[in-house]
Amino acid sequence: MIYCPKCGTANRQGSKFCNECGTPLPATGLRCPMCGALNPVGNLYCDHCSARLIPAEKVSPEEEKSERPSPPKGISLPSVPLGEEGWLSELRAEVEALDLPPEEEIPEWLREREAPAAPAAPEAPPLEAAVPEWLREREAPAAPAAPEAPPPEAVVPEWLRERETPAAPAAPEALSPAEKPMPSLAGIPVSPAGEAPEWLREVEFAPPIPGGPFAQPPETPTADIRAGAPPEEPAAVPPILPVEELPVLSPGEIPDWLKEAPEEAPPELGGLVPAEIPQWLRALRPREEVTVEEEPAETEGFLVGLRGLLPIGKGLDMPPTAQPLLPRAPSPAAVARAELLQGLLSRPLLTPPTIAAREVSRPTGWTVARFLVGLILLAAILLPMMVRLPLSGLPTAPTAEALFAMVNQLPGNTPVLLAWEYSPAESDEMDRVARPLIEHLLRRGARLIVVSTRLEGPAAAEALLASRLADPSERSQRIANLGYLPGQAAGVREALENLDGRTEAITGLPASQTEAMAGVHSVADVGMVVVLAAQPDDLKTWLEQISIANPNMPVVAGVSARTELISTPYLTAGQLGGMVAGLTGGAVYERQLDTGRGREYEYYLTSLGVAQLTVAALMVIGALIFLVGGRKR
Amino acid sequence: MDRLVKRILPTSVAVGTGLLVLLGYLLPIPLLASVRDELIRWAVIIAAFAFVLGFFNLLRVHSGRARKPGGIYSVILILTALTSLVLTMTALMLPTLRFLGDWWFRYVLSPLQASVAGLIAFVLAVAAFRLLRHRRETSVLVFLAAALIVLLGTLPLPAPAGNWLANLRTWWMNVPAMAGMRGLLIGVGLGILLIGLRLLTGSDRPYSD
Repeated sequence: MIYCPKCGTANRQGSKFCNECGTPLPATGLRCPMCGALNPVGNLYCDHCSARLIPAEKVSPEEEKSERPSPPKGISLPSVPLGEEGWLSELRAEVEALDLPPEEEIPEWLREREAPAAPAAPEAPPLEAAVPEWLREREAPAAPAAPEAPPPEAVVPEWLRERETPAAPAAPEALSPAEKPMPSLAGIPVSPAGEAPEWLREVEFAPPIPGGPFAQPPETPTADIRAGAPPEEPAAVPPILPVEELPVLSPGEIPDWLKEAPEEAPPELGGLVPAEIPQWLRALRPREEVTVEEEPAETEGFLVGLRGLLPIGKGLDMPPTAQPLLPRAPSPAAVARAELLQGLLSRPLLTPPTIAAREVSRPTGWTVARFLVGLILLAAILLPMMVRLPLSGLPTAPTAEALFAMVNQLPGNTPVLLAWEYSPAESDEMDRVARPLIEHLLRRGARLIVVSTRLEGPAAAEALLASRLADPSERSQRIANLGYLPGQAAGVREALENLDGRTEAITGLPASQTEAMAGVHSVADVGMVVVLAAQPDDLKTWLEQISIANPNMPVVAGVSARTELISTPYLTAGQLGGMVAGLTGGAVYERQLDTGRGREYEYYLTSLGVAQLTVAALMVIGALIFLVGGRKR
Repeated sequence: MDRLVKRILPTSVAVGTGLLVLLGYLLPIPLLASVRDELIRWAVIIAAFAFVLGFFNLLRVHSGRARKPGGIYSVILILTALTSLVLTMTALMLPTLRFLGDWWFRYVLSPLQASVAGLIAFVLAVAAFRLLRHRRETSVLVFLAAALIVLLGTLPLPAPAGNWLANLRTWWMNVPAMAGMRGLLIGVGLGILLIGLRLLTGSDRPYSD
């Protein structure tokens, strides 16, 4: 949780803004000393680089021998110690196999590196051990207590020699510390005689140590000089004491001005302050032997065996504003929601109602109404069987009469393509449409070529045709069932162009070898196309494809009552030469053909009339009930 | 590569095939006509193969559902489909056993399909009874009036009401109903034309991503 420093609201860990007042939330976590990534509090290792975030505790040798302690579990790290990678283990094994010198035989480069850290120079003050070499060289003129061997003459820069020459015509026997070599100044341009160089003026303008050789305070601010402002008066530059006027001290003797300096004075030495030492340089500064020994060695990860690499106590990055505040008192609405949730949870579990129970809960009136509707329909079906009702008059169907006339004009032995587009689900109606038409065609001596774009179509056709032509030889002469046409419109288009390329579905013979297909290769060779369609789409497909393949081909249709309406535009446009629609059309065709099935059609028409009258009565009764009773939702 | 396989290649094949078939109908070039017929033949073969894939996909889907609650219907479907397949294949390969396929079709498939279709009459009757239960808008009242006119106008009712209803039904079917149906057909034709153009130009790609 992160508590908002403004309102005290507890926010989820990782939130950047307060969920209550929108105040930016401080980022908390452990800062990795290796990669700088911020890790959740409690992590032992960095999520990004796997470096240890908290230094390992020092373990006594006895504890190390007894059992290697497992690291405490972090938040997002595995609880098992990190194992070495395979390549690292191999590398470690190779290094051990190299038979390296013992630990006492430290390489030359490492000895040079460790040399400053060892307190091997008892005569040098402790302060010098903490100062880098280059800094000591700069401090040397200010601390003449450490005499060194006189450097060669040529090491002194030219400008310094010129400057020293007039002040000290006779060189002393022993060179003063001011004449120590200053290699770092070799590249600095030489200033004119009597004028200090730029770098030296900056050094001299630093606050001097009280009582020191440069105790005279500068009159010109350093900032002005650094900004490039030219010194107006040469007197503003403090005078530099000649070398011969500096006090000569014996080795180990501390000058008086240095003794009077406070303990925290060392940063002022040479005009520099410790804050100006870069971080990386301070990190390279050798540590004292005692400090290194106190830090325990890493026992895990990639840093095994190394000491002092992780700073102690610097990983926690907690802004001072992240003060955990107590949450405010909950609002009444929150209390009400909590009480409601508690009440819901304290209720006993209820078993969900079963489907049967839900059905029982439906209104009884609606169930009774459905039952009554079913009874009325059943009575409408049974009534024509028992009582002869005067509901089957003499219907009229001009389109059926026109179709009858077209079939009558067909010459004998004419091939007729029969598209059988209905399934057993529609056969009760469509069989009574198709039967008189097929009977008429067979009477006229036509040869029937049956195709269908429905899977059940060929079987439905065979069921009807087998009852008409039971003799196999006669059937093979008059009927060729070419079966199912896959591909919808593409199948129809392909079949119209290639009728004799198909296979007879009943005998399995090639269509070209059947007697019924004699002389028929495509739709252009047939005398008429009859489409028996129960669905409007089937009729449209056939009409469109036939009009493309052979626009002058006479096409007639026997359709269901529901397809009658959509067939009428094709009939009026001339694409359909005639049509038998529904039971009424079938009855008219049957009456004209006079097959002796007039009583059958009369019965079906009576049943249809009773059903229509029943449905009309139900509509009127229902409309009255709901108009009077009101709308239900 | 993925874009080429999933988008560019299917679109190119579809547009190219459609244009070839269309040009085969529009231009009196024998080569284009033969290419058109060949492509249509390919389409028929692919459609037939799609039925085989659909059959096995049906079995696969319902095999998974059979293990879930209510899976008894999936089991029945699988058994029925396999029985139909075996009987039909047997009838086609062995003409002496053709009666098995005929029996299955005549005494199982046909009665079941007719029974399901017969339920539609009951559903329509109940729906007609509840026509004004939820909605009393003008369109519902017009629908109610048209249904009554068509239903009663077909019946040989005694004159003069019967004749008046028959004439009203004939007018209704030839004028308002026919006008609506012609409008629907024109709309369907324009829609098919538009879909064809969109497919040919690649604007619609139902065959690719």
